Amino acid sequence: MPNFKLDRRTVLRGLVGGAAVSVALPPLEAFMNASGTAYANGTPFPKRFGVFFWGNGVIPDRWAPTGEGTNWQLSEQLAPLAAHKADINVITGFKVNVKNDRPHGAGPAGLLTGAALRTDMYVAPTVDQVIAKELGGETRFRSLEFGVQRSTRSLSYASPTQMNPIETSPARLFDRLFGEDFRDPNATTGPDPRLPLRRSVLDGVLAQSTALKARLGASDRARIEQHLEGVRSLERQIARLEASPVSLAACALPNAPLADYTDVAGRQQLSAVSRAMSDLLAMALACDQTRVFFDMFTQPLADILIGTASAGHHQLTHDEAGNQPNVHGIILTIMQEFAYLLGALKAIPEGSGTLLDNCVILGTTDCGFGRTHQLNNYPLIVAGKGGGFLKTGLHIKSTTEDNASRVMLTLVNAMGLRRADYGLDTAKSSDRLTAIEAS
Amino acid sequence: MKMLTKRFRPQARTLGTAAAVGTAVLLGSLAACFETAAEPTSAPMVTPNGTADTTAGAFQSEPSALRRLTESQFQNAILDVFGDAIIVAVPPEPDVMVEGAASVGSSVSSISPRGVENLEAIAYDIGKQIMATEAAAARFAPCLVGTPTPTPTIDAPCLRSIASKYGRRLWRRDVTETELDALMVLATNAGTAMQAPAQSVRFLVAALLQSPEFIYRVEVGSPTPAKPQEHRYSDTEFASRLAFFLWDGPPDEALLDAAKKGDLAKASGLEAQVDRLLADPKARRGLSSFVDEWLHLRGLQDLAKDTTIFTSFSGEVGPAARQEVLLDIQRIALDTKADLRSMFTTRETFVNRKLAALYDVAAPSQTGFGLVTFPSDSPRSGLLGSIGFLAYYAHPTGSSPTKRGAFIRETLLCQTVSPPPANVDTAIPEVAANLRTMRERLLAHQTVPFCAGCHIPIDSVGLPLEGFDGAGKFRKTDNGAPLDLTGELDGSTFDGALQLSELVARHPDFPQCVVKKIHRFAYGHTAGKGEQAEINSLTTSFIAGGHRLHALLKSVAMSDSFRIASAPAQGE
Repeated sequence: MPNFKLDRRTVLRGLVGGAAVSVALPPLEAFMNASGTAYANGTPFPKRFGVFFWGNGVIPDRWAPTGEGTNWQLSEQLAPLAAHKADINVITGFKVNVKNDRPHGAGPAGLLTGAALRTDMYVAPTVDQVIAKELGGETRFRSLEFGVQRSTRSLSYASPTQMNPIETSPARLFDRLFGEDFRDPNATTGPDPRLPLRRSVLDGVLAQSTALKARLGASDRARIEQHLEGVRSLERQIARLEASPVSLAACALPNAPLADYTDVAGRQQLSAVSRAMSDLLAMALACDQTRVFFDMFTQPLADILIGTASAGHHQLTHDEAGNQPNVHGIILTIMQEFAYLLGALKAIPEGSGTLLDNCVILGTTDCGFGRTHQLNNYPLIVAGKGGGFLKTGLHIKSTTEDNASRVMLTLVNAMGLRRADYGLDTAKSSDRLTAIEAS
Repeated sequence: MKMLTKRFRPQARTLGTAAAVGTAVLLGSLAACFETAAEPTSAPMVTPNGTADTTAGAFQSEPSALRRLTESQFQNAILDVFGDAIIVAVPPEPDVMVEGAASVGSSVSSISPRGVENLEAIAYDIGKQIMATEAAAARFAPCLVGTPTPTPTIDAPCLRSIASKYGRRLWRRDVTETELDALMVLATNAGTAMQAPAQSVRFLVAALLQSPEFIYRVEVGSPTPAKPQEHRYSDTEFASRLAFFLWDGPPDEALLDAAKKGDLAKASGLEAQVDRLLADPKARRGLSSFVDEWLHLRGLQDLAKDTTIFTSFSGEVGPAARQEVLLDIQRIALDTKADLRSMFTTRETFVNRKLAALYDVAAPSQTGFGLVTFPSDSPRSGLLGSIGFLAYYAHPTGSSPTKRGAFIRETLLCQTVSPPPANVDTAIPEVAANLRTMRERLLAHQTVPFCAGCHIPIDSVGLPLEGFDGAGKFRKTDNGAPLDLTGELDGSTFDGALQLSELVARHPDFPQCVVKKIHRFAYGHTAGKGEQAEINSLTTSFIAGGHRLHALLKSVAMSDSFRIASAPAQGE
């Protein structure tokens, strides 16, 4: 057998080294059905789910849009999203219904898992992992977790004991996605002999773990079992690679990002890193390498210097007086980068629409008003139509502090999960937000 | 927390970071609290540790728990087993911090789906690096490359010897014949499918590294006949406990051999091994791992400041400042074996050229770090005068008396500071003509009863450190105003950082607090009620022995309670 790996890498290196990277693509139409909503064989385009997260909340008075329903105007803090107003829903006035006993900690746990923290631990998987568990075996990567602030601690939990680490280096994310193991779904190559071998190694891990579990107490058994879920998922992902991939017309190897982004006067190059990450994400989704992502622009309590702000973000949210011009400037920076992310997805055609149309993306943070870390007026943005399941271009406003779990329930259903309710205890809801569902 | 005494109302436990927020939640959000008080109260919000917990009853262990290898343990295991030519840029999973400690996180965390993917990629990468060059392969698998041209057929006895040798090091126990059989099938298949004997080794190593026996420390013990509810670790498991505690890495061949011979079951044999481990250079990295966890030094690796304000600051300062603290404590604990409390009062410290410039002392003559002595009129001594402490417990653009005060109370004295309440307006006044120093700006905290409960005990320890700016540089004024550096710590008034350092060193809560942190690091959990007797016993001998950390490490390692656990809970 020819050495597939070496040939492949040589080819990729040649592509990366070139000034303009492009690969020959098959004609788009050959793979589409007549209406452009699915592949010719009837397979619908994959739906993708993502979270865009930032730390330290917003300033609600400067965040909430005016008007409601289809007739509304972006607020000053949402202004950077103007180009995407028709592709998003802004949801205001909702509340994360858990006890606010951990400033900046209770909010994301309560929203993303629908459950309060218990002795500082997440007690349920976060929404991205609820969805990844259903969809993750379809792609090479179960989910992608990445971020912009260096050393960011993850908020993506597959289970209480499993925190998916955040990648904050664009170069490492590129290597992971498009390094030697990347197979262009549109290229025709022979079978990779390593794939069945990798699966048999994982089979060995599973077999050995079964023997180990018999010696353990209940809580350690559960931890091993959670680990093995990941091993089984990886086996499915490898098996998926062995099957012939669906061709995706827009898939192309992207340019490699810079190896390093050095700080400037103690400030991280957040915008440059965020844009590099967004570009990589767009192609990862276009090439169907994953269908679930978690993008942490900053982590809860981030006290880093953002944009031209006069002090660390978290310190400013508490100390800055008046209408907090520095905090406001930071929110604008973050929304600009969220807009870039949405724009990168919208730039990729898929059928008669764009990749963004086949996404459901939740934009949110760790509290409502950063100064008081309250859990009402919780910032929620939903972008993308979920393959036609959602309406967009709406401002949904609650005047009764509606349960934010309603939104989460709607999103998991939009992704095709049949869930009757979302959340536990006070945060539980079985009432979907039908106002954003397409009829 | 278990350390609460009856005199105070229960407080929330110290924050962990399972919520991905870390102790920074607490330290960061205490910046201020005034104006709108939902539930005014003047109840004390800082709870003393209490030197002696008189509620300690009979000794009772906690159940054992699998320990996932921490980031540093993963790196050290690869280094110890494969040598420093093998590079692992990033470990498969970041540490999970629970109660602010990686050791506790390692006892409750598992491997995430993403971590499974990372581990697989790293395992194959290591397998590839090992066979990447003729020289590397000759070192790792001499029996495979002994002939001028590697044989096209698989040399089964050779592969089996490799699996047995490296399996024992990576899994910290002998590999069974059944396990070896399974590994051989895999390795043989790989060599055949890939048409290269080196691929056999690559897949073999990848399988060893992805095993739960590598990535988790499996220490479960077995019931003792006399006390069925008590599990005693096997000698081999105990060898692992000793090595990970004292070296932050796996046992070496000598320790595994000693365990196999039964040496660790005898007091003399155990003492010989503990002394050997403590005398080995690897004890420095073991100690450093503890100090990193105890004093939260890892955040220094990524410390950023606004360099338009702190013009001497640069990205190299944080890592150097961490190294300074690690070297200082290594010297006190392992070299001079001095009273640990001198870590607050010593005028000697290790600096490199960058730190020497910041401290305004003569640079060491050699490259790297050298020992220097601050002059007798220097405002600095020990940890509380170090840039590592002063710059980390601060903001990117300024100092933070609140962060510094909370660190002293929580981390050094094991006192409990309650987290700040939600729904409180926390704005503090801008710098103004009559509000130039932090003391003046924070004054409101001390006059509003709702805020004063937390802030008087914290700020009265933090404000006296205002003689150092947010990057740890000495200053006599702030915004042109002279600084009042008086303060109060648990009944003693003082003036300035030097006197504060003396008070912390002499504070009755300090010895037991250190013991609790060492115990937590060794055991992977905060001492339970049944373990308070062990804490008390260790504290008594620590004090009686002159507060020597070296002796404390040895006491923990030699203690019989380090060998036993209560039976794990069964059922679903």
